[in-house]
Amino acid sequence: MFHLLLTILISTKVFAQVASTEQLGTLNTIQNGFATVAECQNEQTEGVNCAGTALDESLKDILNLATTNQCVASNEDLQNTGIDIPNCPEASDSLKGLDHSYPSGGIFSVYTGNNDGFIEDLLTEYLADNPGGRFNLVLPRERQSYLQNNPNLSRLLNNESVNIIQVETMPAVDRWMQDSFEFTSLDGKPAIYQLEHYREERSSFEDRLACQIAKSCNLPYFIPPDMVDPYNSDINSLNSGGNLETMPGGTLYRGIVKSNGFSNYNMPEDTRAPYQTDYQRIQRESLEAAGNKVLDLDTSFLSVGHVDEIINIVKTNRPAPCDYAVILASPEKAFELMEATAARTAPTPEELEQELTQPTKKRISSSFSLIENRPQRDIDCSEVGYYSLAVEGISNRLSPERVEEIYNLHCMDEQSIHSFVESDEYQILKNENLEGYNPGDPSISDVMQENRDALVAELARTTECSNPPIVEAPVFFRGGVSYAPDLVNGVVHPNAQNTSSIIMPRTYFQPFDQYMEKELSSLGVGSSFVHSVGYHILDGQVHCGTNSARICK
Amino acid sequence: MKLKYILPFLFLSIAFTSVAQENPFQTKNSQIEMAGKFKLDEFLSSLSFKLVGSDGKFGIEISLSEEGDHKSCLYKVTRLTSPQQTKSVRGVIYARMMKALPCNYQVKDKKLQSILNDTRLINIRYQLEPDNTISGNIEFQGLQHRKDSTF
Repeated sequence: MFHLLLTILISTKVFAQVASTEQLGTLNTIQNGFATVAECQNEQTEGVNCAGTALDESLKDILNLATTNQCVASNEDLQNTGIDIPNCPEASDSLKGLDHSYPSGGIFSVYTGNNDGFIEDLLTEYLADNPGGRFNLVLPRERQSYLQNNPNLSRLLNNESVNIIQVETMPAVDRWMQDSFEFTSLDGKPAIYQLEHYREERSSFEDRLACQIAKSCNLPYFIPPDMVDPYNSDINSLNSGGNLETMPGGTLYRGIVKSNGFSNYNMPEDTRAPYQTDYQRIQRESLEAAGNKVLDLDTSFLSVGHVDEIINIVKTNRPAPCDYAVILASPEKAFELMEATAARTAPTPEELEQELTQPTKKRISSSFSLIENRPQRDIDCSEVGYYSLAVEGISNRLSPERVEEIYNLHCMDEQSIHSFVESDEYQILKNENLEGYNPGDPSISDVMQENRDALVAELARTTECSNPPIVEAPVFFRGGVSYAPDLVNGVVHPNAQNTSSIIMPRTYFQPFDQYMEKELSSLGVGSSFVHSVGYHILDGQVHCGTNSARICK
Repeated sequence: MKLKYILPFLFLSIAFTSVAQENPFQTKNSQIEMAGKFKLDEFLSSLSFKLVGSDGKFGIEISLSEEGDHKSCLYKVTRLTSPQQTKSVRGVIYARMMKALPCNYQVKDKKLQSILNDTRLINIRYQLEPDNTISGNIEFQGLQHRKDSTF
């Protein structure tokens, strides 16, 4: 999440119809390279809660307590729950970032019609220790009938802390709330900063998710300099919101392709690293011109390519200046925990002697059969593979008893951890993550070490903390994405103890989840898990599916 | 090399049929059929892949034809997604060799034979083209080798 403190010189207002395209929108103002768009402005008086769009009649019975015009909590609302509001960074006419230690005044997510378990979990965990915050649900009218058919979720959403933002159709960006815009802060209040997204290419601004949220929430809406030209479009995942974050101390960090030797996920063919998009180049120029430092990290090994897949920041109970911790994806920790669990859960020699092997034939075509031998003593994980779990969480959250049942199976996707660790697949992935593909190629672990060194050096410079705690999250990768749900990609909000709480994707592999809970707890950081497997199988996680409006004073 | 295919959304539609009559992830109710042709590095032999399966169980068949002799091996699909919903805007097919049915290619080019028989994991990433074809990348991961190609 990238929050900008954007202060525009208002002393001289320049209203000029600088550029106008029939397809995209009417740009009214361009200052410091940023533009506003006429179609994305709410007609209500700025600063006053607008009337919003009244809920459809069909929803009024089931959501009579939810609001439609209260997207972001006030400073007072949060302070009344015991959360301190930090001062905004020193602002003049320069851009500054708000890191995850700033309070979340509102969280945003999209209802897709088959992510009910996720929404239930997210709402419950967010409000549990951030009761002053606002839970915003973007609700496409074409999916409303699914919500109406889910009384449990409807009951949960019928809450004064919930704000409904109705839109006509599913946003072009689908459930990926993080990627097409960022929240900024203008005079201590949230504003929206449109980003380029592949699925919104050539869409009018009016049709874009960020614009619809800006109008519904009566928030200022801005286009960054590189998007003012409507034909400036990279169509690259590196340009998305999940790939631009802020660290304590104010430096902005993002991912570019720095290493060769991985699959060519986000680089054009026949291009060699280092590589960044044109959009990223212009973005750096405009941010640096505003007095910011931008740190480019290496996301070469990632298919989506976003820094929020491998790095997160949380506030701890340690004294300043080292009052934060860095969460880093650690393949080493993942393999260590898997091997320890496999050794602990391996069949005994007596059990192996009694083992009977029976082939299970499953005919799938006229020419071939899928034949797999599985020792009878091996755990049957077929019902708790990620696809099965995704289906299980479509309509409801999983019960604590069901979660415990899955944990006790010690499965990694569809395989028992013992079988998985013994497999060729495991060995190949271990090579890819820890050794590198070919002699001379970097491994994922090598790249993460470089990223860690660069981050720590920058943090030492800007926060005077030379040795921040590092939480090594057990995350390993296959084909550019995390194999299990990615524990790094959680959404962070402060709690009443004025440390962070982080809502993480549940991996359903207990050693991973327990390890994170324990490590974070030792730093005074709260943690909880949500069912986000439906997001995981689509290459994203919790942070990817949310956006947070942070506030300061 | 781009080939036509029929949009493979049946897997996701099976996974999410409990949602509603109008499945938001289903665009065509049709049999899955997806294939591509490619070459690995310097090897002259043309290889192909084909998605086979039904009822939620799928395999990737890797084949090559050599002097009129058709050789193939089947890998079990473990992940199958379409570009419409993924965060990366690319569809994915991941597959692994089955222990009970290991691949044993016998081909003229022994170096290629070694690579194919060493392969344990297949990773395919694809995107839709405006003319309803697909293009993408196929990666072979083995204990001793790693190769990839575009298709």
